[in-house]
Amino acid sequence: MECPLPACLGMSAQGTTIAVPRGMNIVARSLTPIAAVLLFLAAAVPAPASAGSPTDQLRSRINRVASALEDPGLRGESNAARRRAEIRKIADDIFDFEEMAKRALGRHWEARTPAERDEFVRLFADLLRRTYYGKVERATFEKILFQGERQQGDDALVRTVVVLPHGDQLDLDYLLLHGVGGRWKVYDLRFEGVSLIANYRSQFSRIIRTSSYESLVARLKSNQAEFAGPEDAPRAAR
Amino acid sequence: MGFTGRVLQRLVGHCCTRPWLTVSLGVLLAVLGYGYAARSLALDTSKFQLLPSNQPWATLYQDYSRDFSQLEDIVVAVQSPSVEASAAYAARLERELGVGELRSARVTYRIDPRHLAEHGLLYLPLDAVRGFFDTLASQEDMLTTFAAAPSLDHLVEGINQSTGDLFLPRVFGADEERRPVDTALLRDLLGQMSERLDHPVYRSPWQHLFAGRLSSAPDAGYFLSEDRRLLYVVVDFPGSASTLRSETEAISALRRVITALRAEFPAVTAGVTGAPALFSDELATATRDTGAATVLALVLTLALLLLAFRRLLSSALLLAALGISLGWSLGIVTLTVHHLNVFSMMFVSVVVGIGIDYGIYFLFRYDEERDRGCEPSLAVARTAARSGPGILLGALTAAATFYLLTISNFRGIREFGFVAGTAILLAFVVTVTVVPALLVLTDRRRLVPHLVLVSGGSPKPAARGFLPTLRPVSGALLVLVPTAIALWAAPRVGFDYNLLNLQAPDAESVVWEKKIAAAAGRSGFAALATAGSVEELRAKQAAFERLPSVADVQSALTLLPARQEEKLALLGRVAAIVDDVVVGAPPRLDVDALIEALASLHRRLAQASDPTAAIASTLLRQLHERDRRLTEIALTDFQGRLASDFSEHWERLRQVVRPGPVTVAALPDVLQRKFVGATGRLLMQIHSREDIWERPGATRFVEQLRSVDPDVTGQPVVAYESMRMMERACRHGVVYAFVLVAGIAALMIRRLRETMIAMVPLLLGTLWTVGVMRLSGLRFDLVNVWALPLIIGSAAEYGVNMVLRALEPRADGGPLLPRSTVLGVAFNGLTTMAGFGSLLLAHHHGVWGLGLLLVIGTAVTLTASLVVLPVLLRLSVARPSTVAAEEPIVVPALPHAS
Repeated sequence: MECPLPACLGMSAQGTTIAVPRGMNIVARSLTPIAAVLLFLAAAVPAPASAGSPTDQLRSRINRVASALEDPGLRGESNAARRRAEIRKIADDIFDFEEMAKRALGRHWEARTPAERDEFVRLFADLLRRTYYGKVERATFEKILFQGERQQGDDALVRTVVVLPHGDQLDLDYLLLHGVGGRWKVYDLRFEGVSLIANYRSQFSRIIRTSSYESLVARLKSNQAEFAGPEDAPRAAR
Repeated sequence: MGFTGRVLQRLVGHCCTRPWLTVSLGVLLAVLGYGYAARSLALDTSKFQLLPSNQPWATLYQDYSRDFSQLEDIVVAVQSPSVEASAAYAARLERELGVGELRSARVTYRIDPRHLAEHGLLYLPLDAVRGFFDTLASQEDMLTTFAAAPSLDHLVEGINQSTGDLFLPRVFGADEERRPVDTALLRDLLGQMSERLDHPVYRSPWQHLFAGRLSSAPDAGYFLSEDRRLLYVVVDFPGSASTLRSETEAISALRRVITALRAEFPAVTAGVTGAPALFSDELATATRDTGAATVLALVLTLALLLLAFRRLLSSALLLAALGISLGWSLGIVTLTVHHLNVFSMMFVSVVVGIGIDYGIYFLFRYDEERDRGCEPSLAVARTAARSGPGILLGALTAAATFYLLTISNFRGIREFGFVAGTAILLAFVVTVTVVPALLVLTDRRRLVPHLVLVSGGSPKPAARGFLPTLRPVSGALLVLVPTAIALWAAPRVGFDYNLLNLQAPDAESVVWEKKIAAAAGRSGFAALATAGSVEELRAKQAAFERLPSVADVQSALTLLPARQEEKLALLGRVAAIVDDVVVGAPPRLDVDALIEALASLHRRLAQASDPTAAIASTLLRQLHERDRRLTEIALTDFQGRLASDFSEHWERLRQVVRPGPVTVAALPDVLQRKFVGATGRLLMQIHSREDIWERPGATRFVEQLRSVDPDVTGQPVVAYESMRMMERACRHGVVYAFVLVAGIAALMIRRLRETMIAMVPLLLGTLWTVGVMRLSGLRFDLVNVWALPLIIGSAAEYGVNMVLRALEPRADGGPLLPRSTVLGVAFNGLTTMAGFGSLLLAHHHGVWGLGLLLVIGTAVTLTASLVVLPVLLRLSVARPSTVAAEEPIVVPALPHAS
């Protein structure tokens, strides 16, 4: 079974509807590639900000992804593997996977050994990549409107509104953390106030509470093996 | 005159030699007997003493009643429109009893709520515990975030996140379970916030999360019926021995208190019931009825005696003799048995109904002899010689029938048989000792002999003859038709096994027992079994519950939560979540954050066309339009209440989420007393799905129970076995009675044909009695089943006396059946009917039924004796070829005298 798309992000591989409230499907379907894109692309709407601001840094890296997508040398099915590798390299620079993993595990992070933490970060990063990276190429949207940013110490919030093809709008907030070398990295996204990481945290916590941490890791690994694509083959084989 | 006649004649002669001495001795012995009984005769009211001592189900039942102190409770059943009203009444009743004459009473109507509160989660079904755990695990993030800073905006954001989870990816695929979003909490919360802007309202919305799992329902723990219309209040007296007297006094006192509370609780009705009350009421009813019946029997008997003899003195004389025989009987009973029980106390009615017969026979024959011109002393001698054997035969057959009961398995019946049989024999002894002496002392009549013209001779004094009898053909028809009907009907007479039907239907305990049975959908009487350990209890209870005839089984297990180990494991995980959620103080209300969170939520709900969107929209509009300061005040108050409410719920959860396992030893006292014996045995009460008051249902129930535990006992088993044994005993008793009566009659009559003729009224009477029962719809029951042997015993004398009289030498050519004999039989039958008929006054339905059957039996047997027997005698009894004139008959030249 192909890795399912997030519910709000569209249809499953087989085209069956995933259980969402009635009416949401329209938005959900539209969001399918959009959310992925939104992770990476800022609309070509210039936003006034200093070069080192969270918004600027975010936009800069997202532009690199866009450039990679438009690079003639990486187009076509024959260059798919190279193109995806390049996107991955850029995208990995956008996200603070360790922070995301730590927040996704929540209170259960403290109880993990360093080795367990490393393993979990790796598994979680793979999960995100599997979930979103592949959808980048199919993104469609009208434009993204930057609503501004807010900083508080090492935390920043970049607010945007995504305008969808039929005029619907979607609030999308990026939460960033100021890391080593002055780099701002994304550790969470909020779609209409709904936190992506909180969503994962809720699921992971439920699994740990009802089963165990080991069970969670086993399921992540199983999912990884199940959905391993050609580019993952060597890793999956490991 | 045979040997018996001579012996009796001699006895009477001795007694009449010094009649004053005889009478004085008789009266003295009676007075001594009454005095001794008044001082020493006890009333044994223990129902266990009535049961067979050699049956395990009986001995075990008694054993359990000692081991389990609350096996049979006095119960006050309270009925009212609501559980609250019943509970208020019960509390009031408890207070009232605590200050009155029942201060020592322990009143229980509820399991201690603290026990339920501490272990409430363990009593939930496993699925419910699992579901609760699942909910907390799923909502942990929201709860953690909210609890840390319990504000309205955090709560709305948390709910927003929970509902928004639907739009975000599931980690492990589309087949991951998607729980439908429960928006009840959200709707309640938004609705209240909206209301709160106008009115100071607060209703805890946390019920949607905790679903009542943290506290028991307000009526939890009350002893309620299945349909919750009845509340049971158990009253017992710890440290006091339970005797009938103490229980009766307690019941009376309880009823007085209940009456006094009527004005205070007009909508509540209550009544005392339970096994002790049923037994007490039954005994009280039977005692009351017996007293009234005895008085009525005496009055009717006196009236009949006056009708028979037309002399007050003679009638009073016979009643006096009856009183003397009763005194002697009471003295003998006190000396030998030392007590009466609920059965043997009926012997008074037996003596009144049957014992008087001997005096009647004697007096009729005495009058006949006096009519012939005999002086009193000669008359009593001749009566003793001629009628004495017949009277003795009647007494022996009646007594023997009662003595037959002494082979019964039931001690109560054995004692009744001995007491009644002895009383009858003593009545006979009084008849042939004191009565003749009284007659000699008191009869001062000067009678003109009744003369009969004898062909070829001078008129001779002779007895007056009986009325003409039927012709053989008419007689045969009169016999054959009812007999044929009776033969068809007899096998179809049923047996009513319902012990409740025996009791007075309007007795308070019976009325409430029936209400309880109706509310429970089954009888309140349970079979009993025990186990030595919890493991054995589990196995046995499971086995009983699998039986088709079992409705439910109650034991300590009922109150031990099922699958405790699994629940405790789950609750351990719940505890881990609870421990990790720290409740902080509510921060300052951030209306802007609240509006932002609401707006985001509203957008999603509107897109999903969820009806909650309208509520969110209304609230948003209110927040935008209302005065900000007033809004802050209102919602700050609401937020504060919400936060403290949540804190209380969470703290309560913290207190109950780590319950200790519930063991038998940890059960509340009231349940321990009921289900754990002093010896440590664990009791099971098994209720039947069948109608145990009907034979097929009772048989199925008991047989199935015994397939699991052969030693099962309890009311249904006792009733079932008792009825079986009584039925069997009755069938055998009827046969034995016939054989005994026929044997004694044969010994006295010494002629086979005449003996058989003497038995005919008895046979026909018994058969016709059963036939009448079938035609009138009467059934046998535990009480009236003894009517047949009683009828046989009391009615045997009719035919025997008539046959013996017919066989008497008739030197004077007098009638085959003198009037005195026939009248004697007739009035004996009437007095017996009067004696037993007085039982028709009884409120106790069993006693009433017994009286009815005895009246019917006596009536038909009497009819057979007076209608059929004369025909048979006329056809078959040969006139003696020789005339034996043992005493010269003197025709005195007496002036006319009254």
